[in-house]
Amino acid sequence: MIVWSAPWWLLALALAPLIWWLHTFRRGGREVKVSSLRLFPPDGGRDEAGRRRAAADRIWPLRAAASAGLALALAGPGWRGEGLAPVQIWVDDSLSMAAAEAGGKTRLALGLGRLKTALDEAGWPEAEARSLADPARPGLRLSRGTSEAAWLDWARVGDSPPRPPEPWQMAPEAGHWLLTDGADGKLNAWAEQAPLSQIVQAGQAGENSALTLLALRPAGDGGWRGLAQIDNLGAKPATRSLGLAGQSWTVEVPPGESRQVEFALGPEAGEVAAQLSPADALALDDALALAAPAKPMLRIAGDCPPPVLAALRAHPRLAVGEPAALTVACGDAPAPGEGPLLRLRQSPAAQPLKDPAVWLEEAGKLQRLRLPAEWLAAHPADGPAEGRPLLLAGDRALVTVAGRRVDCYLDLSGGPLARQPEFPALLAGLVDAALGDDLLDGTASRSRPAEGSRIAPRGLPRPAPPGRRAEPPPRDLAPALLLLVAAALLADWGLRRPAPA
Amino acid sequence: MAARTLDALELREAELLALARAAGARLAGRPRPAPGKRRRPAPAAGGGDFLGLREYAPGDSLRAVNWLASARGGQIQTQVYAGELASRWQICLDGSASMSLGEGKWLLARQIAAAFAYLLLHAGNAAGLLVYSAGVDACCPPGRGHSQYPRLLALLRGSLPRAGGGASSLAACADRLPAGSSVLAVSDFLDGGAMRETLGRWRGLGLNVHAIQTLADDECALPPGEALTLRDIETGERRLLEPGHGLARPARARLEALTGELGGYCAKRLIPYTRVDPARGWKAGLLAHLKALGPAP
Repeated sequence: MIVWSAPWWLLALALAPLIWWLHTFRRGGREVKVSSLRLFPPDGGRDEAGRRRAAADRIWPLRAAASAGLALALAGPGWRGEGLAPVQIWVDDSLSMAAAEAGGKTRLALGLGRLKTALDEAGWPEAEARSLADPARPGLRLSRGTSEAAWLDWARVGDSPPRPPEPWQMAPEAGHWLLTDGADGKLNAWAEQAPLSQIVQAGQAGENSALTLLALRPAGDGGWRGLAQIDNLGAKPATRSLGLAGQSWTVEVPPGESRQVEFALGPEAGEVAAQLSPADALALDDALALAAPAKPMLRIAGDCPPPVLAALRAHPRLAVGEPAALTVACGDAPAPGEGPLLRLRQSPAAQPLKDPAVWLEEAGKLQRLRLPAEWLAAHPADGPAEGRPLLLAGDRALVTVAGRRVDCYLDLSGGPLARQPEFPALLAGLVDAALGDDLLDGTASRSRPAEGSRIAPRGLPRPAPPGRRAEPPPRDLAPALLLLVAAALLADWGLRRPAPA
Repeated sequence: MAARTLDALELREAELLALARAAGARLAGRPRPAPGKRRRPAPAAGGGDFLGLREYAPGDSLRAVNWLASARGGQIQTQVYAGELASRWQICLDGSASMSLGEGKWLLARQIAAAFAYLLLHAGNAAGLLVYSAGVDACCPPGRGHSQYPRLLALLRGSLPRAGGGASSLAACADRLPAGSSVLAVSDFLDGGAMRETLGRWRGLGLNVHAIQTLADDECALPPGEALTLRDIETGERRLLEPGHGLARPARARLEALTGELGGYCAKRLIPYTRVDPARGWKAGLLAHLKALGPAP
């Protein structure tokens, strides 16, 4: 059927009779003088008194048709077919949709069945599922034959939160549905604003607890200290068993709260996997895995003083070997062109310092290392120091850093400094500065937002009244009408063009 | 067109002389009786030299009838005197705007007027010329003899019909027509009947009236197939015609009908009438007119 976007223009169709009327006042063409009008009997034309109107110029239907066509085109005609408007189904593929419901099916699997039912009621319009977690991902055309396997293969649940489109970005010529469990409050708020014509809700289970944090920190003995956190997002207390590196703990978590479990691991921890048991409604959030950071390998170049060697070998988070993540070069020993480098300057003429050594702010935690001047002696520099100073004695740079290159002019071959407990801490700090890491105190962790594990459905907004059929966008008929108007005007010009002599 | 009008009217004297001989005494100025029973002035019996006898024509005075010759010949004979033959003629030439339309109509009319004047003068008549439209536009008083013809010719050469407007009022010449004179009206007579009525009125007053209608061959020609506005060149009246009007043929039929009506009107009133068109030419037209006057006495 024909629909009009600007129906007021249809009033201009009344111009057609006016055009006919105007064409009756036409001029009669060429004037011819005659000896006497009495020779020419009246033919119904208009005499000088004008009492009878001449027949309208025969061109008037063409011009009336052109004006009518223009009025129709301006009224914005569109042909709306009998088909259904396409439907875009926005799928909530957040973590909670992987929750298992009664019968063992996940909410996504259940959602497919409910979608098919709703599409059946709507007459099976052209439907395409779109991911809310990744709207740019190609959609999935839904049909009666869409299998659950294909559906679940497309709708991959992940940790990414939904990124629904802005209401103005949603195509106006299509209907928009939402498949969700209602557990995400932000998604529910979007559903209130978005032009959704139907919301398909899947899932009722509300109880779930999740492993939300697994962290490791180096222990002083080379091993690891760990921390695991369990959050209960349900309304009832949860008792879960945490299994990790051969150990297990039974944890009771009140509803809405979290509990932490501390543990220790040996130096060869490797991959640390934590698992909650037994599985609850959402199994995907019951496990976390974390690889304990490996020791960086160290290359020692040059003839390093024994205290230096001893301190490096005693470093619990360093191992001498290849491939080296760090090179410690003593004296003028050659060092690789790239990669972290700790160069320990050496010379036969180390001189005690007169000024106290002061750590600059860029030295970080080395600022806490007190180095009295009487312990220190420094080797002379070959030239102006490269890099930024970390340790100054007066105006003399004792430690500089340039990128991942650290230069130390302190005498570490012996003397009072080498006998102090601060000596290995100094070396450890210089190694950390070269590596850009905190080997002795760095933390490795893996976490997930607790809110993503909430599976209890919340109130969903009411969509458009059920049963309202989306209408397909009308097909614009104005261009065709304008072509006809142009043809009519062309014909009018052709008919009025004077015949060649 | 104007240059041809002012040039010679294409009349050769040899042709005119031949025509004059053919005319004989037809244009001798015999007043013909008016129809009806009205009293009319009797011609002066015996006035002038006796020229001869002729067959009685209706209207002739009974006093002029020669009963003895009539008995002898078995036909009523009337006596003819020189005073009857010599009469005054006015040639009334229509110079209205309608005479300017049509190929050759104005030239033909002037040729008719000039040739007729020559015949009149040759026959001893006095001939004058009036060019009229709504009124008398030009005048050459009647005169006799050979000197009168050049005067008439000069007036004809310099005359042009009106370009537009005005009217065709033959009655405007009435003041210049003494009782008993003769009149030749040369016109297209497309005025709707007023000139025709004037002819009848003059005839009723006892004038000797002749009428020669000059029409163009393309009098009713119209461009075919297109919408037109017809404008009466004299009245200015307009009429719109539809494309494909097809009025040329009905117009010709109407012209023939009007001409027939005029001819019938004149015949009924014993007004010699001839229609001449350029295809026929002035000579043939005048010859036909003279023959229609009857045999020369």
